[in-house]
Amino acid sequence: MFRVFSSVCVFRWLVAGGLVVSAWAADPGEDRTEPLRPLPQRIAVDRARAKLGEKLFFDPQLSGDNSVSCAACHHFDHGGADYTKHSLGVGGKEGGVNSPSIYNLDFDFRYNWNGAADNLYQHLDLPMRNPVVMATDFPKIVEKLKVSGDYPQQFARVFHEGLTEQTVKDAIVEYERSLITPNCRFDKWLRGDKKAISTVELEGYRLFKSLGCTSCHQGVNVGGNLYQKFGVMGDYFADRGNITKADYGRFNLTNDEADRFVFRVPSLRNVATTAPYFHDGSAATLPEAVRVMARYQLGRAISEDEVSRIVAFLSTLTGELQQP
Amino acid sequence: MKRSTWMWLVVGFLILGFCGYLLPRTWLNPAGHNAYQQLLRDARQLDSEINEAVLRARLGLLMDYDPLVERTAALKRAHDTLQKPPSFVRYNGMLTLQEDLRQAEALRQRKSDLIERFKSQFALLRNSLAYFPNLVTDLSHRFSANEDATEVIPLLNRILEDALIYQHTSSQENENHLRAGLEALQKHLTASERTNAGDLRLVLAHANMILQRKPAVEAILGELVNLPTSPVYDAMQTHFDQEYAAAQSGAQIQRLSVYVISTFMLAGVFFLIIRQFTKSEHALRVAEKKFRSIFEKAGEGIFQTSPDGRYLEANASLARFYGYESVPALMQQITDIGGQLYLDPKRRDVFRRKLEKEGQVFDFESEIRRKDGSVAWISENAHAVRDSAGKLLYYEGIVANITQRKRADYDRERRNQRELLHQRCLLGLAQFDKTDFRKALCEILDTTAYTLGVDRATAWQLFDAGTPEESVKALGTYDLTKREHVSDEFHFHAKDFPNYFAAIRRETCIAAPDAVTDPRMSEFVECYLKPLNVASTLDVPIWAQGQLAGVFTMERTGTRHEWEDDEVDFALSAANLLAVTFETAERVRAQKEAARERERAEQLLLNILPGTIAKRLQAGEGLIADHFPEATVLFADIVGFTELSADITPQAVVALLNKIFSAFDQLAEDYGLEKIKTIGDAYMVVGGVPAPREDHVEAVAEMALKMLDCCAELNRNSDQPVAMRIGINTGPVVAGVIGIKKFIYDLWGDTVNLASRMESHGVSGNIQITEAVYQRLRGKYEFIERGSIEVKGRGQQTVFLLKGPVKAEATTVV
Repeated sequence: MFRVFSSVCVFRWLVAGGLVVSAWAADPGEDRTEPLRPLPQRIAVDRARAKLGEKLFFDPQLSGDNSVSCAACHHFDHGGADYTKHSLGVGGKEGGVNSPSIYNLDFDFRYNWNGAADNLYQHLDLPMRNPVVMATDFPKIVEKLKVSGDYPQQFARVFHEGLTEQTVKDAIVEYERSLITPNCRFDKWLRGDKKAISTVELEGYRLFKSLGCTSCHQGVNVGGNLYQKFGVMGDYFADRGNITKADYGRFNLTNDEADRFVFRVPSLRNVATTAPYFHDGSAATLPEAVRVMARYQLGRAISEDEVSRIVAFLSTLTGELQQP
Repeated sequence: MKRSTWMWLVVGFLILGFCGYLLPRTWLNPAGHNAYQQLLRDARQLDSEINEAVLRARLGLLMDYDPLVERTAALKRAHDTLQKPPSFVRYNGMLTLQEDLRQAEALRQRKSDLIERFKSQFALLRNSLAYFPNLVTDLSHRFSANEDATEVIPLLNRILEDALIYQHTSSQENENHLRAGLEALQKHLTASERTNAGDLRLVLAHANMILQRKPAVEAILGELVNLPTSPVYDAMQTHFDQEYAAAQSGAQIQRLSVYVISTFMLAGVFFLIIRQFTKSEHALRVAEKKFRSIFEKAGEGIFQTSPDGRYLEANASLARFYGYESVPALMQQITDIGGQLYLDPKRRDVFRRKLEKEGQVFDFESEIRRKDGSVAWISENAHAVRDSAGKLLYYEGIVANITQRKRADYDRERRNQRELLHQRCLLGLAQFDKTDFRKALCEILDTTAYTLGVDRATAWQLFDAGTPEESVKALGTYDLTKREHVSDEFHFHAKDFPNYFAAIRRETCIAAPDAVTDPRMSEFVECYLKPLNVASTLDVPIWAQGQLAGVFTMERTGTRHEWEDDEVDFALSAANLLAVTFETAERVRAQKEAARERERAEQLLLNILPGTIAKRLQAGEGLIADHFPEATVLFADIVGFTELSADITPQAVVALLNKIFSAFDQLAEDYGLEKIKTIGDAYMVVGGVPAPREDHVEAVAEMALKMLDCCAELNRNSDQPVAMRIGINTGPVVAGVIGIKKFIYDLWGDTVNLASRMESHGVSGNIQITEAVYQRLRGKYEFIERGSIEVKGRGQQTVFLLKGPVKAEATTVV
């Protein structure tokens, strides 16, 4: 009895260890010398849960007045982000920030512009409780769903526990995780297909590296794994004016002066599809965003030729959306 | 101690033992220990990996932060899991471990913060380092056309060189040189307000960034790498190992107690099992004993026989039943059951085949031979016993003695058959014609003798019933030994055997198996039974029309015979038949008498009436009156009879008349004429009545002539001469019988009256005939015409006297 039990444990840890090792180990086709890494082709997802999460994602019952769903701000024809500068929440109220993409979330290290959420579960609570986004909370949502359509039956089918706060979150998180965009042309290039991107795009990438962009925008998600100050070599907010609380970034969470104007570095995957840009949605186009980045992170404008080449490179980061 | 107390004690031990068995599982949990150990190892590993990744990043060997992020997250998860130490960790140990973990968590938190800072700061450093060459190159390119290019460009290149070297060295000299370069650039900037001051300030900014961030990054790195995580993990490891050791030593005690408890438990279980065994063994022994007792004392024989026909086991009943003195004797002496036991040597094979086919047999009935040779019937219930492989081991079963039943069956069967036979016999006898008394009697007697197998069957008839002279006489006897009917002249008077006669009247039958000693038969012992060597008797009274009519006796000689019910029934039935026969005989006698009576009466009637008329009267015709168109009537009268009667006695007169009239009767019969009657001394006869005939006139004429001859004949032998006057007439008459008493066939009509007149007016010794008669007889007879005479009521009538037949030579012509 003990032996069996312990052998199961040993097995479990072996598996866990194996996973860690495999995550650490380099992809054979991957050029580890590059700061950018390709997205995995697929990740393990519970399809049934993700399907249920999908349904919830598009259900306006998740908002306080049943007016907006998650999909109201995260458009699937728009890189999982919003068209507008600031998204409109319940009652047409305008949110404080531009809605970021909800693709490839599994590879981000924190969520929200200011990194307020350590994980997707925490992240879910934030827009829900936000009075200008969903203006509700999960207990209320669960009460609604319990008398809504065949949710209880569907949950009972998928979850042993049935319809609960936790299972609603589980479903949505599973759905969010499932939304990945592998196989972008640049990933193919990273995997060894040297013809996957054009010369201009490759030049753009080289420029991207040599200008120091990869200091922050690196890794699988081309960013998304560190905080950085917006306006390293210039005062963006002073230049822009009309500073809001949201502009303080992480400072709002840490009250550390060093964190003022510090934001989670956003992922640049599918960046060509997610205009407008920045937390304040101030950059309407990608070249504009590139210019702003050069101006305030490098301290100096770069040529239009460089901008266009970088934009060309960035467009190779648009992948194929995988859905459950 | 009571049994239930023991029981509860044992159950208590069992529960205790079971709990003891459960306890160490929670207290000393190797799996939990291993998992926690692994977690600790993982945490330590992740921690060092984080350090390594940070260093690699710093050294530019790692271009992205993903590994760092992954490990940081993994370490957090590991710490979260470490919050729950295994169950064997004691409370104090738990506190210690939690304290250790708190420290480790604080360190991790710190490390995590440092990592974030490192990532941000290092990113800035990298950013500037990356952009610095671009900037310097770009500015050099742009400044080359300027007037002070010779001053600035070398400075910018010197700064770039120093900055790039600075990145990779900790040399103070290099830093000073860089700072000096930067000061020079600053001086240059402040000395002259240049148009491209912005660009130069950016150079300064980036260089300052490098100068500031590098130490910052180094500081972060230094703190990060030097965070005392290892000691904390070591402490945790140590504490955990201590806990485990403590738990193990505790577990030793636990184990010991578990062993003890287990021992108790096992002992308890064994105790229970043994108890159960003893109990069941005891029960088995009792059952065995009981079974033995049943086996030994069973009324039925119990056996186990081998397929080759030997006894493997048998009980005393079986041995006794088969006539052996003991079971061993039976088993020794019978070595071939099929041959020795069964009467039918094939019976054992049938038995085996049946068992082979059906596995068991029920009510297998066979005839067997006992040791002493006597035969008995048995019924076997048996089954085949096989081993697990299906191989036949032996047959096992019980034997019941059904001889009695079989005998009863046989007896019943025999009785049924006998009854059937009896019924057939009785039926045969009943159908037998009993009008022939003698034959019927013989039939009944011999059938009875044969059917019942009695040596003698005798029918006795009772005479003078109810009188002092009452007696029985043997009507007939069938002697089976001789196989013939004999007639013994036995005749017993009731007064000599009052006892027997009373008994035969009183009882349905006297069935005496021991006749000699039977009190009812005591009177016959000397006179009858002993001489005839009769052993058993069966006497049945014969009742006819409610009266004792006789006795039916059956006797067996030699050995005693118990009369069976059916035999008695048969005897009674036979006696009934005898009664019927008696009655029939009586009836036949009576019928014969009646027939005789009737014959006599008929004779009488025929004497006074013609046969045909008598028959018609008998047939029921009340009034007979027939018209005959022609008939010839003759009257004859004895002349002078009145005078004659006065002379002689009436008897003599009657005798005379009888003599004459008897002769006339004979004549009438001879000529086929019908005598009608005698009226005193007159005699009346008619021809053509009742049977019409052609020659009725001639017949009467002949009779008349003969009557005269007859008279003459009588007169010759008699001293009393008589003369006859005869008158004949022919014509229509009515003939018939009138009245219901004293029948007489009579004639009426003128013809009769005229015939009477012819007689009364006639001539003595002559036959006077009318004209009608003359006309009919003319030519055939000779006549004398008397001429016309006066006839009373008729006037003148021509009459003739008939003289006789025509003679050839003497023809009278009238």
